[in-house]
Amino acid sequence: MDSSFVLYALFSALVYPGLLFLAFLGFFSEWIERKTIARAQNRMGPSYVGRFGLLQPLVDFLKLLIVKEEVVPRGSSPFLAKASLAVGVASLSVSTLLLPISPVRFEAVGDIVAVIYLVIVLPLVSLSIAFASYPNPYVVVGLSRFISIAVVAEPAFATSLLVPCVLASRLEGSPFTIAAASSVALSLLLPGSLNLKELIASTIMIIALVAAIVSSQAKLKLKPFDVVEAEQELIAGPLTEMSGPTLAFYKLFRNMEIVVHSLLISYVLLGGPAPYDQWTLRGVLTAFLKFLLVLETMILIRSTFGRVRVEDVIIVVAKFSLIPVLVALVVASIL
Amino acid sequence: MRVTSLNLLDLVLVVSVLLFCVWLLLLVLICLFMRRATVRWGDVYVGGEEASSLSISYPSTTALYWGFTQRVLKEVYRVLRNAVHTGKLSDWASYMSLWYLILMLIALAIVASS
Repeated sequence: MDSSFVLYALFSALVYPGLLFLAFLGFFSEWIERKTIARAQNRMGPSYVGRFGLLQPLVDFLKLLIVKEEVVPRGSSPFLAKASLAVGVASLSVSTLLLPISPVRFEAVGDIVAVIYLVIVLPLVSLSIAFASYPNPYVVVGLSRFISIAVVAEPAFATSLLVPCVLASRLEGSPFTIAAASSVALSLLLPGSLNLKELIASTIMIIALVAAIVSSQAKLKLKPFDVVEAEQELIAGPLTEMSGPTLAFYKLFRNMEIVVHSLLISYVLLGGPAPYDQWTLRGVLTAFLKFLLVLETMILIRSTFGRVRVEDVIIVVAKFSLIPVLVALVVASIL
Repeated sequence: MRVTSLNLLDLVLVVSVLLFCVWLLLLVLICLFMRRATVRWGDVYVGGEEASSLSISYPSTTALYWGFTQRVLKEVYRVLRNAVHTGKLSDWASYMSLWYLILMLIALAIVASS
């Protein structure tokens, strides 16, 4: 690797499709989330800052970061919280370099393992440390719930990402990479012919898609799985003591997490720009529409359902996500 | 578009280095913003009260006595009452016989051991 390539890779990690791009796409997805939920509740939602209130999430972020004071309870460590949230933000930023969206893309056989490391393991650890930096009874209960749900939701999400990779390598003979899985995902999901093998593959892909959305909903603490920060019961759970710049960082992290999950699902399970090429106008539009479709599905589920108890979260995620996708993975590997 | 094919170990190494660079940049930004942000230190509160409301860190003897009486002894009394006061003479007789039997066995054991 020459020095210009290293600089280009750094630029990609920091600007497109890394930190800056993800942050702005995160603000955009927050605007969609707030607007959709507001319409579902017969409210206007953000309307005044920028056209259609598009700049409201950015202004809210800057207000928390720069204007608001930070209230720090004694015995807590806001710097540790910020530093560990920064690890999560950095890992999500870098993870996009492994997706076909990136102009400078790194590829390896089994690169899905690196994605799992960057999107699942590191954010989980960084978020746990950030929460634990504020010792408080509500925070502790919220954190224990967060870890309990993660035990079921994280493996389910990882397995649902593995399914298309396994199917692509078994049926198409493609290498075990994200790009290969993404390129055949749509044809696996919507088969051209009706032979038994392709029908089974299509069913497996649908199961993986549903499992990915359900487990993402639980991972991202969206309703009906937001018992981690149940306001009526725990005030705000693990976020009870967060304020000012730390809360701004958490919101940035959360938005980026939602974006990365939607991007991963739309690329790995829905084929991204397929049936068009990635770097054509129609390809970019198709990929963006699929991203919006996944995002909007998660937001609609979030605005439709009420909160369920923590044990019910585990049962629902196990029943509709973990167990079906594990069976799907076994069937995909013997197909 | 430029695709760089690596083996998995190198890939993890490269993304880890990039991750570290992004993290370092974020840390610098955090330090800059933290210097500007107003910080107010506050005490931990419990149920809306100051933490000092927990200055008595152990319950009083009276509270322990009434706690034991109300929770444990009340429960024992409830179990005994339900077992004996069923309104049937045979239940009372079998309960008392069981106790006598147990006491008899203990007495026999003590006599045998001595």
